Amino acid sequence: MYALEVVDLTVSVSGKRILKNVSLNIKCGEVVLLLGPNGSGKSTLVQTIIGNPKYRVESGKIIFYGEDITKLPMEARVLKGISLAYQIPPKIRGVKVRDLIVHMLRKRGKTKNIVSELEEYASLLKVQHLLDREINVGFSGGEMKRVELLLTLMQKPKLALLDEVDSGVDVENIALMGKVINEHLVGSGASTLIITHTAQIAKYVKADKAYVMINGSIKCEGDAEKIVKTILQYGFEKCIKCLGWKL
Amino acid sequence: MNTLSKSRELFKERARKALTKKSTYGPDIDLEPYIRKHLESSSLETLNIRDPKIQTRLESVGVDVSETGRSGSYYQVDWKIISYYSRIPGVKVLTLEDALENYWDVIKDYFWKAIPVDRDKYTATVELYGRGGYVILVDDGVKVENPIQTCLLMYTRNILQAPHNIIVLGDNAELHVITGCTFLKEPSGIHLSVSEFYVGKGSKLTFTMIHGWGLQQHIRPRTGVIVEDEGEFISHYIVLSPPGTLQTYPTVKLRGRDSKAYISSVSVGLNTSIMDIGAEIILEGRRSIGEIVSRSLGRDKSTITARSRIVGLGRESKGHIECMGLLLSDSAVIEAVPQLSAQTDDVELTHEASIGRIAEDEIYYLMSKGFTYEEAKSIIVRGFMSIEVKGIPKTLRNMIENVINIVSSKL
Ligand SMILES: Nc1ncnc2c1ncn2[C@@H]1O[C@H](COP(=O)(O)OP(=O)(O)OP(=O)(O)O)[C@@H](O)[C@H]1O
Ligand SMILES: [Mg+2]
Repeated sequence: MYALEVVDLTVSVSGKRILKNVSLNIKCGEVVLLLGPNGSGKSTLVQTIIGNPKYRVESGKIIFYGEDITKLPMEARVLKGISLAYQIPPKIRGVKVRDLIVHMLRKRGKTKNIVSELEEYASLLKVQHLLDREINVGFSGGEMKRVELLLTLMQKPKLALLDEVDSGVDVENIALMGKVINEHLVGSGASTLIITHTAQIAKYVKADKAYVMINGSIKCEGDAEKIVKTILQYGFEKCIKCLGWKL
Repeated sequence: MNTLSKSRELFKERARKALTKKSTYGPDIDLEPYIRKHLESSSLETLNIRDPKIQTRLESVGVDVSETGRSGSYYQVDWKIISYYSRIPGVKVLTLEDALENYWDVIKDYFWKAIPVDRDKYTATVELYGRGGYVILVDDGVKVENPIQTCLLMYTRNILQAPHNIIVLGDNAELHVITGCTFLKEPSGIHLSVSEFYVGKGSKLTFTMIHGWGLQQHIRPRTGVIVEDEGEFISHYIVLSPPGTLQTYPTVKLRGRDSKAYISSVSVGLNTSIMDIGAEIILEGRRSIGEIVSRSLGRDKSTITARSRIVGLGRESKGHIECMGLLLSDSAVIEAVPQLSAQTDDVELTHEASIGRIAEDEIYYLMSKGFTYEEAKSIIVRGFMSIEVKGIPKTLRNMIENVINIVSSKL
């Protein structure tokens, strides 16, 4: 059974075609890496999966647990169990992290144990001091990432899309986030798509499979460890040449 | 003639000369018809303040109708004083007339001292035709925990309401005042008010004002505040529903060393309302600190001008202005006018201002957390309106949160 199937997806933003015939899938409970250089279209892909209206699907399909969700509005996809941790979340003035999380969970009908769960996850991710701050206002890069991961954990998603959780994060915190992802996301049975261009997080989270996206298309798919190793050693550019990929 | 009537005559003399003097800011209002009506009608329509409908309106502007959480209160409808009392020894809640009559020796140092009677035709009208207004006197060393609430309500059609309010805190005193102003039946008439606040040495006054008006109303409050050494003045003004026109420009003079002022306002512009909401802080005292924060929300064809001015005179004084506008419609206009003036070289004055519409990316971000477009928008609007005012009691903060929640959900 697949948690996610992206089938031949072509996507444009503001009239510009960004993704070309992308296909990718994630089996239930799998951890999948999506690698690729800056500007290759990784964020575009996850924004399209979650249903951000800015990204227009020209052709192709997105299937979640067997259901075609290509035309579903964003909030409906989220309520079905997809969660996206933003690469660069916006700041929202006057809205406290704690209040947003409580509101988000109440909306899903959860009323019990919100506070205790929030405290638990916040302390795991070392973000207790941020709960009563306005969301992302004055947060450091690493703090933003940890709060995004906190929001994802609190949603208890079936499919977690983690966009660059490791970029701009120091070594200790990557290890910390890796541990939390392993124990509380992967460990709870969620399927996970981890986007990274540095592959740092791959040191801590064992992935089943990896994709490499270049210039809006998937150029390689295979064993995560091998792909990560090749990329870390040769970089994307060399890697493309060595494998004979065409741009 | 005793000294009261002598001084009063002098004030009235000056006022008469200013009766045609327009305000520097805001649309000019012809007061003639209102004054004429005021002089003609002597009787008021009767009203029952305990009427559930009226109580709901009072609650909408933050009034605790049960009064359990209040240290005292003052109710005025049109120009008629309904009730007033204080539960706290060392704190007097009086009417202006009562205070002038019986406490002139105290009042004479504060009456038209923070605002000149001939500032403009509105202050002049208050002196010549005004009635009522609360006077709150707090003795040295008295710290009042629960707020005192004052309610200035408008009931009769095309009424002129023109109270003169005075609050005097002695030294090392503390007082929280919550003022709710609204119409009870017909949203028409003119509300002019003069408020003179005096904060003694080491004292703290917080003033929360919530206004809910209607389009046939015109509002011209005039406020002057003087703060002595180590005194602190905190004010939070919320306009939940706008009048036809409103113009106000409270001036806080931080006269004492180490004195502080924080003035914030949240205004919601709807329909064709025109609001000109300003504030000025004069940093006179050494190491005085002033901050002005405003949030303007423009919908429909409303116009909001947010003025703020900080003048640095005292050595080592500091001031900051934060002025933000959010446009919810193409036809609304928001204008921000922050002004800083430094008159010695070791003051530190800064400002930040921004006006824009809701960023789409913020809406999509919230939608990616499971909210609908409308929910996301209302979360952002509510966040925009919720300024965290430090230093006011929790009960007031909760009350403010409630009214903001209700208003933002309707925008
Ligand atoms: N709203 C937009 N308007 C125009 N171009 C856009 C828009 N959003 C994305 N793009 C373009 O699409 C391309 C892919 O961007 P995307 O953010 O998906 O890359 P990425 O792989 O996530 O890169 P990074 O590793 O830097 O995060 C880029 O060239 C980007 O400039
Ligand atoms: Mg990206």
